[in-house]
Amino acid sequence: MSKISMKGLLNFVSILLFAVSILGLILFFQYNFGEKIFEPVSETIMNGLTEKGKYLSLYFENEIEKLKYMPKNFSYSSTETSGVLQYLKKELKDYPEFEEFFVANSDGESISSSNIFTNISRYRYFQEIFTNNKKWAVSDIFISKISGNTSIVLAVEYYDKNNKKNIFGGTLNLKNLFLSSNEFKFRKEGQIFFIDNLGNYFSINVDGSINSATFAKNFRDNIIRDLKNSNGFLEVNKDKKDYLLFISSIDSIGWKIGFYVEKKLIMPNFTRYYLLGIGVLIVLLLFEMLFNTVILKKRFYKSLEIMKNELKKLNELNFDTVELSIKEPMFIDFSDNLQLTAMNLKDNFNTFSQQINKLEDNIKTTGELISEEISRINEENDTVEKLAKTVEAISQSVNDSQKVSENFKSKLSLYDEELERLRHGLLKSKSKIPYFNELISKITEISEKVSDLSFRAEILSLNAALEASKEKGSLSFAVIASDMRDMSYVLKEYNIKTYTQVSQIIENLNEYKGILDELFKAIDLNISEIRKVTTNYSDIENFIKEYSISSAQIKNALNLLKIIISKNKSIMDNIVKQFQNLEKDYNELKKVFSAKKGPKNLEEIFKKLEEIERKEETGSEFDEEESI
Amino acid sequence: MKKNPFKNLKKQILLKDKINYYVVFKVDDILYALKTEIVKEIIESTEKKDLPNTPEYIVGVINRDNQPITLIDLKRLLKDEYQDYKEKMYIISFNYENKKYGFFSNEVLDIVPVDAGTLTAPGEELKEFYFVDKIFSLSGEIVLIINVDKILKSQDE
Repeated sequence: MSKISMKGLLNFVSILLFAVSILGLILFFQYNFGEKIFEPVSETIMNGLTEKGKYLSLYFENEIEKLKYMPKNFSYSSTETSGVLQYLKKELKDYPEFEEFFVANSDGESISSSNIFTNISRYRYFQEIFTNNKKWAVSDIFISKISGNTSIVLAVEYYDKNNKKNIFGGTLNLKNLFLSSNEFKFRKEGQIFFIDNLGNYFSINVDGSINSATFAKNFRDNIIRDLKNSNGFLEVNKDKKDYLLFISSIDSIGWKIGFYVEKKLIMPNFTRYYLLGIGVLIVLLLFEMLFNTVILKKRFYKSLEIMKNELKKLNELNFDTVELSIKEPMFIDFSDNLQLTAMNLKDNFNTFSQQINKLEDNIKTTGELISEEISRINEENDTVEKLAKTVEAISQSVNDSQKVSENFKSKLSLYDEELERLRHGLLKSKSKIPYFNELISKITEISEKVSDLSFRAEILSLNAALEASKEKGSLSFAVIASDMRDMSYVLKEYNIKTYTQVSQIIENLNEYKGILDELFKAIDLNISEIRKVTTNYSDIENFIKEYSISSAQIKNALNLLKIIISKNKSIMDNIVKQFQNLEKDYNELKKVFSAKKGPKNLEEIFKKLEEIERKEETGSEFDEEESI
Repeated sequence: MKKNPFKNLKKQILLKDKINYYVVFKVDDILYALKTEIVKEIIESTEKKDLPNTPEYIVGVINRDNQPITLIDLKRLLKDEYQDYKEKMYIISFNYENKKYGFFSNEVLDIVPVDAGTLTAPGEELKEFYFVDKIFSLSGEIVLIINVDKILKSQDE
């Protein structure tokens, strides 16, 4: 289709339209006139057939009348058989259409001119005349034994001299009648057929014999159903052929005469009209060719050529040189619009160029962003690797801590037991202190008493010395006093020593007590501290457990992060690939623009641009995915 | 303080008439001496009762065999401070104009015989000790001999 030029296509379509219209017109006339022509034709045929039927009816009536009015001054009598026979034979010479005459009485006794009267179909007309009291009657058709032709018996009543009812009849040879009827055709087409009073269908062969296998039998249903067995005509479709069927009656004998013809055989012939149509078509073709060469070439194609050239300029993006000046009225609007379009296109192209520049900038920026993104992803990857190592180290430390803590726990419990034992010992020691205190108080008491004694002894000795000093003559008293003084001094000295020692013991004991108390407190404190530490230790243990779980979670998170980063990397690789393609496409586009050749029209440029835009969109989608 | 009992005995026998006996006691780290002739007895300190409207150095009175002994604080005579009066202190009791007085001290060193010839007058440096007549040396330490008259007369005055 695309290989056929527009001009050729237009010509082809116009010729086709001409051909279709001409042939359609002829066809229309063929059918429209066909209908109009057919009605009078059918009427003519119908009239002819009616006339034929009437003629046949009259013929039979005439023959019957002949039989009726034939002089019959005889009666059936076996005694006069010869006379009757003579009469019958004589009459036969005057009525050549009859093959024989006969006379019969109500008993069925008969005399026939040919002596071969076989009484075929006798029953019918006997009944009609003798039973039904009809004036005349006909038999069914039969093959005459005399002539061998199709014949029918006509019978009339007559009364003899004795006024006795008899039958007088003759065998009518139908060969000539049928043959003359068979000549009834329309334009030498069609076929006559008969339907007798018993409803038998037959036609007449060329030799005058009847043909019971007539095609007309096929119309029996139509005749009974559509024509209601009466006269008239109708169109019948049989074996995919249209037939015209006509029926008229032969009243006198209750028969029907029919005629059928294939419709197409009697319709007017349109071949010459078709030939005429083709001739007109050829003339129109010649006219079109003339129009094409003279008018179209001069005006239409010239304008088209100008537009073609200007469009070529447009195509080459030479917007400034586009100048459309077409004076052809048909193209003025078109060229004005085209000029306007060229201007718009120029503006659009300028905008487009700016957009292209922007696109270039965008591509550059995107390239930089992509490299930044890649380096960022690499950094992320490194960080995650480091984090993974750190987490590994922390996990190791946690495991070590767990072991250390297990050790620590067992040692703590040991220490706790030891401290408890020590405390028990200290409690025992402490219980001894009151006993010591009692002992000390006793010693102190004794010491005080000794001190008191020594004091008193000293005072006594002093007073003795005093008294001795007053008694200047009594030296012995002075000596005793001096001894007492010495004794008291000794006593005092020992007492002071004892006191000092006791004091020291008390002091030591107190100190010991204090130390014991402090030790006790320290042990209690230690025990409580250990208990606290044990409690804290459980917390630490829990914390370590939690930390182990957390560290596993962190590991998982890091693995997830690694997967995400690797995905990001692959996405980034895709982006880079896409971006490289984009750059490639853009560079191609740039080349196209700088060379102003390559694509044959703007459509290709737009396609390229769309492609780039699509890729950009895909790229931005990637970006969004990444940012998620 | 083990002493030879015969060491001083010989000295005592030889210097029998020239020797005076003194009770040596310590108050506020100063050694004082009182002639045994006037000393009635040395007794243990007992519960004292305050005496109103008396000089500052008279710190109270104790009862001894239903007789009062007025207590004089030597430390208060020289300073504005008092000695602590407590149990097991020595009260050196003496008679003065038919009244009983007593010095109290924590320590009575001894009753010593002193040659009258060894007594010396107190120097200018002991001027503030107005109640001291003479001084003598005992084991390298100066002992101040108290003249109760100078204390109690001034009270009377």
